[in-house]
Amino acid sequence: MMQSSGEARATVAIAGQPNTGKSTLFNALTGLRQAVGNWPGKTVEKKSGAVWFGKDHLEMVDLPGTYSLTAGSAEERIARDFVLDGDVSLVLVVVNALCLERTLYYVSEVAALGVPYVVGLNMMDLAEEAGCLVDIGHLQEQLGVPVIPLVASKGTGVEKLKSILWSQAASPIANDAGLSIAWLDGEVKEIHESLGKFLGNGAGRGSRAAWEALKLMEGDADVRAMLQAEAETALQEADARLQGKDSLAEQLVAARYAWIRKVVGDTSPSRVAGERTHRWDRWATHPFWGLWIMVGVLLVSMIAGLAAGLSPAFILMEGVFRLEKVVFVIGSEYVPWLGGLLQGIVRGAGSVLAIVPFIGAFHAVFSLLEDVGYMARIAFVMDRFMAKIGLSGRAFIPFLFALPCNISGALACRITDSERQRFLTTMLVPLVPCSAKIAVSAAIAAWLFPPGIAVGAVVGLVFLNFLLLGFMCKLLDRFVLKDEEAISLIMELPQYQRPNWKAIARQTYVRCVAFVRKAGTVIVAFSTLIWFAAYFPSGEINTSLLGYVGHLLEPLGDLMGLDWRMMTALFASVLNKEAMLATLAVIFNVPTTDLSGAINASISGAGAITFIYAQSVFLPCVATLGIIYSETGKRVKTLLGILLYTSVLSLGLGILLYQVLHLLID
Amino acid sequence: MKAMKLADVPQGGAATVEEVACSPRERSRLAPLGIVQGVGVEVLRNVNRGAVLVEVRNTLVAMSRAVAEGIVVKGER
Repeated sequence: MMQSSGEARATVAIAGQPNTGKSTLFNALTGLRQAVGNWPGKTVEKKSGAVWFGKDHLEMVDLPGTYSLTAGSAEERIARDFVLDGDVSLVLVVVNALCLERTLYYVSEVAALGVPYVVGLNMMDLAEEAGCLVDIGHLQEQLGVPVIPLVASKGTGVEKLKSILWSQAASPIANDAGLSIAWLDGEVKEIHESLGKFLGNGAGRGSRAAWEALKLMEGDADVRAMLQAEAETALQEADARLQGKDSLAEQLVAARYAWIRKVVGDTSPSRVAGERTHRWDRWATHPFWGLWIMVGVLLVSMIAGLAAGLSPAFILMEGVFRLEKVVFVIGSEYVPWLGGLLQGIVRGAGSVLAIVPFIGAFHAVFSLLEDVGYMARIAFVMDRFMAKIGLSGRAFIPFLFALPCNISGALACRITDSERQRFLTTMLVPLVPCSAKIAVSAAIAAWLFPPGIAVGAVVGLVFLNFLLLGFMCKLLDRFVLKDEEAISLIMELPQYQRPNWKAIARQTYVRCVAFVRKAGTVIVAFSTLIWFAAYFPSGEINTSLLGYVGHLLEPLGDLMGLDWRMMTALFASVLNKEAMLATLAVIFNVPTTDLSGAINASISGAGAITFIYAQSVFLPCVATLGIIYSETGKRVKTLLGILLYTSVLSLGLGILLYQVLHLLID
Repeated sequence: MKAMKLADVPQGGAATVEEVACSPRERSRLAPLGIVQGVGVEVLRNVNRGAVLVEVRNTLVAMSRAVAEGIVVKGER
């Protein structure tokens, strides 16, 4: 939390396109103390912090990084609504000196919003290295606002920027030139002015009306809807004025770039996409080698993540198991069911805690891949395959994050580029077999088969999971989202850069904190409930509510070659997947080390294979369900959908699988 | 100098964008990345079925093949 010595003097929003170093600059300005949360009513991250000047401070809000401010996505809406309606005194627009033309596009958007702004010209070091000299004086003169050269990653220019922010926030250079927008020219300017005058109706709504007029000309659906509600006749009149002027949106884009060229002036950046980037991309984006490099990188990442994260997780989990036994005994002395309840709380909270080093290790590895610029190449390489199931290459990233733990995957669905993709990935994340599910499959397979076959079975199972994922995606696309437009991949591939370890550490830390905060509350609540079911009323799972359900499901189990004990374990796995073996040991009433014999004796080979399959696609753990619930807009619909399809896939297909296998091998 | 689709420009070739005939949604995402009428692009990666990688205004832009099919260009500046 921020230290509070009175109210902030003013609010400054920091905005800009992705890959401009905006986040690095935000961190350099605000330091470690940041408030991270969601934008009201949205599942988009909101970061804010304070820039201190002695005892006074400015409130700094980090707007989502987007390429423009057209209402294409939730992020873009948030950014522009905050500037339009929020209490923003000043906008700091970050541009990249290497890609000045492209990143100035965002400035043309902010200029049209009618708020005071200053420009942070970042990555000056890289621009100089590439021999591209930016004429800052010219830029400043053309834009009419302060332009501050920066190297945010090294802190260069940050102090100067701070003092300019301070003085500007107090007495900003107005950007309310009434109806005129700096970059409009020629015919579109005339159309815009007459439309703006009409919408403004002379009543001091100058810049707002100018912005509305511009967005109407661009065909912005949000502004149309707003005017429809507030001033329907005005909208009709405006439509009449715009009738027959077809290519206005194109003309406006052309006007923006004409202005940008004038603003940039003689700064003719040489070929900048550095030699290094080109050399590496020859391999990384190669249709054949690119794929194998990706497989290699991901394998190494997984191994590194496991190596670093697994043993601390085991040690912590061991501690949790011990602690829960203690609280169980203590609790049971007072009231029989209290022991079970306490045990549930400890297990729930403990499993969140125990998995943190594991999650942290993977997030560190993934953040490294992101930071050096490789993650975008993965999306590029995967686009070909993802397109087959109606997703873009970017949608592969959440699935990748879901491999160590589905919770990370559910949280990573934020990076997808449309509502549609976000819905599909969120729905399908549970079909990615998480490391816990894979570990359980591997353990049981190892008990049942010789090593060679066991490895093949696990690899085959993971493959099958992804096939089902593709199949489900097609199905959802076809029947649930039939009318929505598929959004194809359109993304920037950033320049490769040396890893910035500080940024990676920070990113990892932020993600772990988000994980604990999100997972914590929901998981403990859900776990308590389910553990209550597993221990009420008798204190033993066999005779508990859950065991009762297992018995009830015995007829269903028969069809899958599973007895009530296996069914109970399957349903108890909703609590957490890595405890599956521990639960089985409890139900069979043998030590975990003797579990293989007990299971071998109680189910057939066909039943065992069916069990491995069924648990791999069974309902995700409560933690994942909780995160999905808090991360999605259509909460109930999404959750019910997931419960429905995972049940059908695991139980329905499980029955089919068993019946076939039973005929073949038993 | 004939008009063709960006998706048909061979890898290593250069072209000038004549028209961005994609959906409005896609067009509004291409514009801020610099892909507009009149701009010169260099095609860095273009093989059958895969995504297309171009360099435009010093930015590397990746797009699905479907998007590149909708961009009309004049080949070889």
